[in-house]
Amino acid sequence: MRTLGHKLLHDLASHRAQYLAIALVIAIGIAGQVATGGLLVSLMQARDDFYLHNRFADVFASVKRAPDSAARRVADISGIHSLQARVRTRGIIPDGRLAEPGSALLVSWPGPDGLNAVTLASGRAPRDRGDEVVVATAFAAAWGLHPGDQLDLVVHGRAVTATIVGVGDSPEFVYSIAPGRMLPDYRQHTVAWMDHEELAAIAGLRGAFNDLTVELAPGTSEREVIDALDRELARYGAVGAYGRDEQLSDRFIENEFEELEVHATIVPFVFLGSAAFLLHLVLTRRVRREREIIGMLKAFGYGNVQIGSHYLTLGLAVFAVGAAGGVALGVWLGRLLAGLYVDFFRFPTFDFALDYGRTAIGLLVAGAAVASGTLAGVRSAISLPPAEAMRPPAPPSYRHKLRLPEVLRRGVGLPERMILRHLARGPVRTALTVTGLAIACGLVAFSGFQSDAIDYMTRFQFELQDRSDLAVTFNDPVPGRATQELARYDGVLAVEPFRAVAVRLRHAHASYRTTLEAWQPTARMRVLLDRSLRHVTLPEAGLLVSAQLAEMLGVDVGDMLTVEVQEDERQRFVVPVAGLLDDYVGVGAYIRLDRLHRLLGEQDAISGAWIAARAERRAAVQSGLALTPRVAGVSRREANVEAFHETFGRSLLIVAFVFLLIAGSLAFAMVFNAARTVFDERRRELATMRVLGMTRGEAGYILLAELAVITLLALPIGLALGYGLAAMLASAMKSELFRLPVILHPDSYARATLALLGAALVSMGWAAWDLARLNVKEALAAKD
Amino acid sequence: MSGSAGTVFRLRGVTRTYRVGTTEVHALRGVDLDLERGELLVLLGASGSGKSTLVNIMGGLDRPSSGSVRYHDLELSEANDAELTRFRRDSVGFVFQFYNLVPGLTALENVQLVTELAPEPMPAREALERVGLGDRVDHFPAQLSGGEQQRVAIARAIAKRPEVLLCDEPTGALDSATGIVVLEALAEANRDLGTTTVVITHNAVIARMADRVVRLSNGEIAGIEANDRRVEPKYLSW
Repeated sequence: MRTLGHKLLHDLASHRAQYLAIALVIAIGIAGQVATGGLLVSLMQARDDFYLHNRFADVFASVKRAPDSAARRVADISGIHSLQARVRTRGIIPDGRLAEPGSALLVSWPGPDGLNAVTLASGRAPRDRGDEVVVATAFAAAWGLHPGDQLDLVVHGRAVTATIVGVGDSPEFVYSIAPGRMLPDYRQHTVAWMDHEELAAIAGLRGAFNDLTVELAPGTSEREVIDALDRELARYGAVGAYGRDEQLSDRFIENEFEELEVHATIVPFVFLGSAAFLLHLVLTRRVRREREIIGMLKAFGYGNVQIGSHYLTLGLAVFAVGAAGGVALGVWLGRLLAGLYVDFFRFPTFDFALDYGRTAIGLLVAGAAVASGTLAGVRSAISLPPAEAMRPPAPPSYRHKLRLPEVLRRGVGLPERMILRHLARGPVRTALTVTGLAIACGLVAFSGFQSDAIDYMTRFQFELQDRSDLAVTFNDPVPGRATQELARYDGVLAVEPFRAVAVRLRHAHASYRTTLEAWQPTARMRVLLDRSLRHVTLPEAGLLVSAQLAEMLGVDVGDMLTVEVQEDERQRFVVPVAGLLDDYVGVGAYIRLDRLHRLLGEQDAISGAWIAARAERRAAVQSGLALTPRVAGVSRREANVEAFHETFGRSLLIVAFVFLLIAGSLAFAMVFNAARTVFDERRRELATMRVLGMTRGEAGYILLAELAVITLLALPIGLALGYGLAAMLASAMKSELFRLPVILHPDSYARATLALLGAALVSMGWAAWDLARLNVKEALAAKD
Repeated sequence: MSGSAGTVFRLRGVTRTYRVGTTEVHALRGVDLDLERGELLVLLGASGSGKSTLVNIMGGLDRPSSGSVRYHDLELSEANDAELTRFRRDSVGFVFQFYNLVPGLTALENVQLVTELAPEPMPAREALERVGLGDRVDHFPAQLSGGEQQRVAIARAIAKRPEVLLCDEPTGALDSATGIVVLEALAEANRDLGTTTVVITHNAVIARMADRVVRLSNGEIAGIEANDRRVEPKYLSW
């Protein structure tokens, strides 16, 4: 067996280019698993550590105003381990350094051991002076703010020049969203923590609170505590307590993690599967070419098992190199990705951890592909009697039906006939090669999917459905005549009111907290579109509900929904679902403004308005409105677009970029291996052509044209496959946050086409170089 | 020895050295040989005697390490790749032990592969008829016996009317009866077309069909004998 060991080393050395290409494929397949598995595990660990260490609360409740004594009473509710009463209020940041007025959520400083404690990145806690705040790190980083800097605020109509004394984050506000906005925007919005007593004084809540956070005792029913809280707090204008599952930031993180998990599961598995396919294919062919040596070994008396295990060892040696490289590459890539994500989520600590399950799956699948490919190749060789195996293979049989019709024969030259027959002779083999290349091409097309889908969603949401320039949101509902006041602003061209109410929608046992939005059916700045971009009008009666929400609640058109208002009067009414909206972003419910007023028993209250303003006056209108006492926030439509890109762009596109790199390398490896295989299989024929007097160009044409035909066959299939993968990912990534449209831009198709053709050209160049160096007489002497 | 006007090849002091690992292998050690127009020459020798190396050099598949290989006025040892390709295309026909047919082309198409390249070829069908395969033109190699495949290879080699036909163990993979049919095809081509023919073999019986027999041993010419009379292949047996 020592001799076989030497043979093994010799084999590895003499075919090192192809074995390295195979090891690269193994490494890429495994690295994807290791990196994404590690990324998920590490991220979840970082979040859990943050939540635990900073005592992220379990239940949250808001009231209008409750005396401090109420908090002491509530603390007696059984199941509450600890409780923190606090003040939470909105402020405007008219600071000149910001491009437009920002918004702040002011919250009582929880103290070092309180619930939702803040981890300070720099500075110190605010003292009991009314002008000290701690701001969120993302906001501070966006504007280059540091402890000691001043920050202008307007809180309840009062101008405050605050001093930033610290910069930090709390588990409660990993995500924080400004009023009237759908998504976080760290440049225009921050949480600002202030000493509790000072904030209460500013907010007119001295000796009182308007917000509660609760930590449950272990083993407590969250539902029971929530119900008890609602009962106790009802008289103080409570809007309904809720658990972490409905806490905005946690829900957002949870959603992001789910998307990431789906994305980071499907894509690496597609890579791993493709890699396994390629490994099987290449190794089978590689080993099959050893038939003569296998025949000789058998003639010497080596048994099938010995021969099988020899080649298996060879395969596993290549696997070992690939696996070691793959794990190392995966850890490096995973650490890099996790670092980016931890920065993105601003979790204070993070350790990269290996996901043993996924790593094992990666190793197993790649190992199995190596073993099956190797053994399939060996099996075909050992099934022959040694004498036959040692003879050069009989000419592969071309059947009569491959004789071309006379018409074609006259039109098609000999080289083309050779290519066509060669492709047609092994339809399975040709199909496998084409499939390999198509997968490569599909992976590249597919890796452009996220950014294409997000681009489209952004356009859909913020250009086609929203046509306003500015949207103003009030602190509390105001009478409808506010519309006329807004219209009098210099530069304002049109104003259209809307009403938005926090509601819980209930059907049977399912319920969901969302915003019920209402506007006039004649509105022109806000329209709803379905996926075919057709206008969807607000129904005469009843609700229009996002299809995703309908699915979550288990309702269909005609079913009745109970609407529980989560504001002041806490009205409750039952309305039919009049239509479903197949939309992309969020899960909303929509109704005509007059219908909502009637249901709420209101005259003409509005929550805000959309404004069209002359371009040169927009900034002034925005600043002016922002400082109006009852205004909670003014958002610019373009800023929404930016925030959308910022949020989804950063989180998904980091991974998408890494996947593009992986897809690109895998594509190259696939094409390169295919080219090598074609070259190897035709080596002897090519040598014959050269001997017969064909020039390099003429012989090369036969080789390269075959590769070109395979590539061109693979191209349309690959592009279709890319679309299919996108559709699969889109359906798997459906969430309440968004549904990805199955969109691939021409850019993505072009990129995939270029990647495939580029890889093919490089591989062809390599093959042509090999052909030029082909030692004709050795290729002829080699019995194939 | 002075070359006559009928000399096709003129080899002088041809050596060929290979490096295998750290050892040098002297495949040819100074070979002088003239090949006359229209003659049938058999190169006889044990394996490793340098026969194939010599024929590869004459066919432009290999270059000598030293010495001169003149084909008419062309010095093959100094020709570049394009010149060698043209030389093979226009002047030389090859027949190999393992036929080297292109499996994806029919018998006729395998011959056409050459006739499409050559300046004044005979019709491909005629070449196949000459080797007795007029009724097998549309068969793929896999549908032909070994002898038939080798005859297709001969048809392919003679179809371009080469001046030289180089055959490396053309019967090596065939039984005796089939081998004789193949040799007859070679002898006929030599007789009817006047093609200068070199046949490599280690089978001494075949030497009897030649005009001259060159014995190679250890990279050197051990002897050259002229046969008084060429024996027709059909009278040979082994």
